[in-house]
Amino acid sequence: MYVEDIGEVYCKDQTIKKKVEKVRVYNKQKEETYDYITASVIITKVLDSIDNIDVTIIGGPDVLLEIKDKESPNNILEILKILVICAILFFGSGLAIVNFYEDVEMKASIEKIHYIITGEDVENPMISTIPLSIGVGLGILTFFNRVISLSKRRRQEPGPLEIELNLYDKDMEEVIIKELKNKDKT
Amino acid sequence: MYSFLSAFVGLSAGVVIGSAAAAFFTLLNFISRTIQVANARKMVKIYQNIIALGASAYSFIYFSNITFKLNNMISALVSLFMGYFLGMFSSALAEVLDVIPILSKKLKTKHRLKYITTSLLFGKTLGSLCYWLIYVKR
Repeated sequence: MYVEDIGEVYCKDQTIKKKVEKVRVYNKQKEETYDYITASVIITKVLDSIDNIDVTIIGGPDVLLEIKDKESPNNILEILKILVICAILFFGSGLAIVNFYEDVEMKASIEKIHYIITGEDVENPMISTIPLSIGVGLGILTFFNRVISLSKRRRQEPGPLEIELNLYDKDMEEVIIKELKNKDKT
Repeated sequence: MYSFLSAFVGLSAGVVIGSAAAAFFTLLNFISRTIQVANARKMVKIYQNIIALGASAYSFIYFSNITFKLNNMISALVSLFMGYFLGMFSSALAEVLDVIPILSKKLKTKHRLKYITTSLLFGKTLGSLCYWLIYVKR
């Protein structure tokens, strides 16, 4: 691992920049683990190998390293995984909706509302339940991503699920660094 | 004419229910956890669409008397998927309420979380089995 792998180097002198980029800050490990480098380690390594320079670190104090093997693209497994997740989410969300309907007696409510509006006493009025079902899907879609918008930029903005994923990653990195530090202390 | 109004009411009720369900799912953030665990984040859009599709399809099936007349084993498979979802759902619900972290802090068992989660797992499975095999059969 060299400095250029974990950050960018700014320097007026191109030769010094090249030199700094090629400073080795971390030795390769065989197994897949997590590890971290603190800013002070990077500074000392850089200062040790090159004379007469100042180093200023801009950004976070710790760098989290994820050491893993070269990923072999296994497409069939990937597709299978996605299919299983899709099946779980499909049937699961369906179950959640049916659970909710049974809980609040949706059938009776819809029949009642249909009777109030049209005056017909129909058992499971399709004219009302099909739009309801479409509405459920539409509601979920509008919550997760902006479907109805003319501007292309607004349609591209991340939905709550992406934000949640991002937050989760951040929290996980923090916890991993903290645990690694605790391990080093003991 | 009035049936159009009825359809409109149905549509708006559906939108409210759907967005509430989606908000609930994201609040519990177990879907993002699933994606994270499976390391399959390229397809986030697909998952969102599949949730919408699943909820919509099941909503429709709930109100109509459709039967697909499929094999028993397929029902078992579908039930497995639903159970998977329900397990994540209930764990996420307990996690949002911060029951386990607080309990483990009070009991000073921070480094034995593994046992707590394992016992939760077995407890939930056993509870479900007891419900279906003993209570419902009675």
